[in-house]
Amino acid sequence: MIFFNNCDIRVEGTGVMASQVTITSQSPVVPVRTVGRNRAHVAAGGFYQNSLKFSYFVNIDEDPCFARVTDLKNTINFSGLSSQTIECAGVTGSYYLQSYQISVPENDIVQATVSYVGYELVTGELRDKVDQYDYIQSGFSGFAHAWTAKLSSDDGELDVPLYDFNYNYKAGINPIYVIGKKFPTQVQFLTSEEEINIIRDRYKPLTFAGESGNVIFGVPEAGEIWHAPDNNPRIKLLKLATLCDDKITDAIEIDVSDSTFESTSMTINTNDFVTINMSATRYY
Amino acid sequence: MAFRILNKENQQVYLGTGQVFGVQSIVGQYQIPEVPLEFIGFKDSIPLPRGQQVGEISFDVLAINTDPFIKCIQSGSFNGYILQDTGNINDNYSFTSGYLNTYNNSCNIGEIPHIKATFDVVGNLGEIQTEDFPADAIEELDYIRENHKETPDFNISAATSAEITLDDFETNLVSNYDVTIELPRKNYYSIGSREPREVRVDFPVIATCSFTIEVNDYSGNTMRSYPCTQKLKNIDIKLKNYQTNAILTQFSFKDAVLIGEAYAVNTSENVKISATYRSYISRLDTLNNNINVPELSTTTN
Repeated sequence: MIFFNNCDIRVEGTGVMASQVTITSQSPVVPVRTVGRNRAHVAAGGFYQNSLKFSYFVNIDEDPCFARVTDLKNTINFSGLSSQTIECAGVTGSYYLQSYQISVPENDIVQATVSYVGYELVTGELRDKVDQYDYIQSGFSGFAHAWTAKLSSDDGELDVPLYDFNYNYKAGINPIYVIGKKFPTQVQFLTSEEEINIIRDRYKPLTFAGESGNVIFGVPEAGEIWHAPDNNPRIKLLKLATLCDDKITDAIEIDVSDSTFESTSMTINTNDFVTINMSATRYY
Repeated sequence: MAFRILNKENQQVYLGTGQVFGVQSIVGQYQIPEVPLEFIGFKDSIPLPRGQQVGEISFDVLAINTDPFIKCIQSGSFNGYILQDTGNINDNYSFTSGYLNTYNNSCNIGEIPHIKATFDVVGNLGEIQTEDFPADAIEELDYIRENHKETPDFNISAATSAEITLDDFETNLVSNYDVTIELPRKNYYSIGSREPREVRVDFPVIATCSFTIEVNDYSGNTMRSYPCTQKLKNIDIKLKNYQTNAILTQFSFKDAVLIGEAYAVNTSENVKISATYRSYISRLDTLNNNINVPELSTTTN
C-alpha cells in the first residue's frame, strides 16, 4: 500500500502540491455479434486515451501548468503540439493540457485544477518516490492567497470589489490517426479560449456583442454611465509573503485584454446580496 | 525583583468615547485561522491561513449606570479600548470594528442586574500600535485623552427595584429574568482583503425573554397547542435605581411568542415554571440610541 505522502506528482520534473489526482485510461471496444453464435467477439471501437486531472495549491515560484498555458497562448506551432511528461506515483505518461482552471476562494489559498489528455500508453508501476522533491523553497510565503490577490492596472491598484474570481483556459487539441497505427502520428493544437468569471455587487447589462472585457472591472458613474478601466486591468495573484513585505512583487497575472464581455447573470438568494456574475472571454 | 503586574485598577474601559462602568470581567480572544496544509508527496505539513481572521470580546458588567451596550444593538460597528492611562494610548488592549453579536441582561433575586455583551471583531484586537488604529479610532482616542476619567453616577439597580409587568401573572413571584438579543452577522469579503467589505445583520434578530415564576396565577400552555394556539405576551421589564426608583433601563416586548416552558417541582422548593418567549425582529430601527421596533423597544437613561 502506498500512501499519498510517499509518492508525488511531477510535471516535467517539477513537483506540484496536489490535493487530489485521478488518472483514467480507456481503450473502448465494440461487441461484434453474429447470427448463430451465442457469444460476441470484441473489436477495438475507438482509441486508447488517458485522462489526468489534478487539483493543486498554486506556488507562485513555480507553476509548471500555468507556464504551459502561457506557452500555448504564445505558440505559433499549431501542427506539432509537444506533450508534457507527467509522473504520478511511478506511473508516467505523455499528456496534452486540455484545461487549466484557477479559483480564488475568499480567505483561502488559491487552487488550480488542470486536466490533461494522453494518447499513448502510460508506463511504469505504482511505487514510492525515489527521491525527495523540495516543494517549499520559501516556506509558506510562495503560496498564492486570496488575501494577496489584487485587481490592478498600469495605473496602480483598482478599488473594485470582487467577491469571487475564476479563470479558465481551455485548449482544443486534435490527435491525428492514420490507418494501420494505434496511436496518433501527431497532435494538433487547434484553438483555445480563456474565460474570466467574477462575482460583483454591481450590475452591468450587456449592450452589444463584442463589448470589451474591460467592462467587467468597471464602475458606474454619474448618469448611469459605466466606466471601464483602461490601461490593462488585470488580476495579480501575489505571494502570501507580500502581506509581510510589500517589496515582493512576484505574481501570476491574468488580464482581460482583447477579451469580450460575453455574459452576465444576476442571482438573488435569501440572506445574501444580489450577486452579479460577469464573464469575459478571449478566443485564440 | 517584583514584576509590574496589571490589575483592575489600571484598566479603564471605553466603548467608543464612552466609559463603561461596572465592568466585572472582559475576555478578548482570537485564534489565527491556521490549518496544516497537506498535499501529495509531502510528509510534513505547512501551516497556512485558511479562513476568516476574526476575534471576539465579551464584557460582563453590573448595571450601575446607563446601559453601555444597548446602543450597540444596531447594524454598525464599535471600537473599544482598555487603557492603563487615558493620557497614554500606547498602553492599550483594544478592538476595532466590533459588531455586537449577543446582548444579555439578567437578574436573579438578591443580585444586581448583569449585562453581558459579546462582540465579533473583524478589525483588529490586541495591543494595537497607534499607527495601526483606523481614523475613527484615532478620533475617539483623542477625545478620551482630552476628556479625562469620569466618575460614574452610580445609578445602581437591583433585583428589589426591578419591575416586571406581564399580562397575567404577579410580578413578585418572578424569581429571575433573562433577556437575550442575538444579532447574527454575515461577513462579505472581497478578494485581496482580510477585512470584510461589508458586515450585515443576518436577520431576523432573535430576542428571547425567559422567566422563572413561582406558580400561582400564571397560565401556561400545552405542547400540542402549537402551532394553532400560540401564546402571545406583552412584557415590560424596568430596571430602576434602587434608591430613587428612577428608570435606568427598560425592555418592552410586544406580542412575544411563548416558545418553551419547563415545569419543575422538588421537595425543597415551590413549583416553578420557567417560560421562554421570543420575538423575531426584522429590522433595527433606533431612536436615541435605543432599539425601537414594533416587537421590542428599549429605553436607557
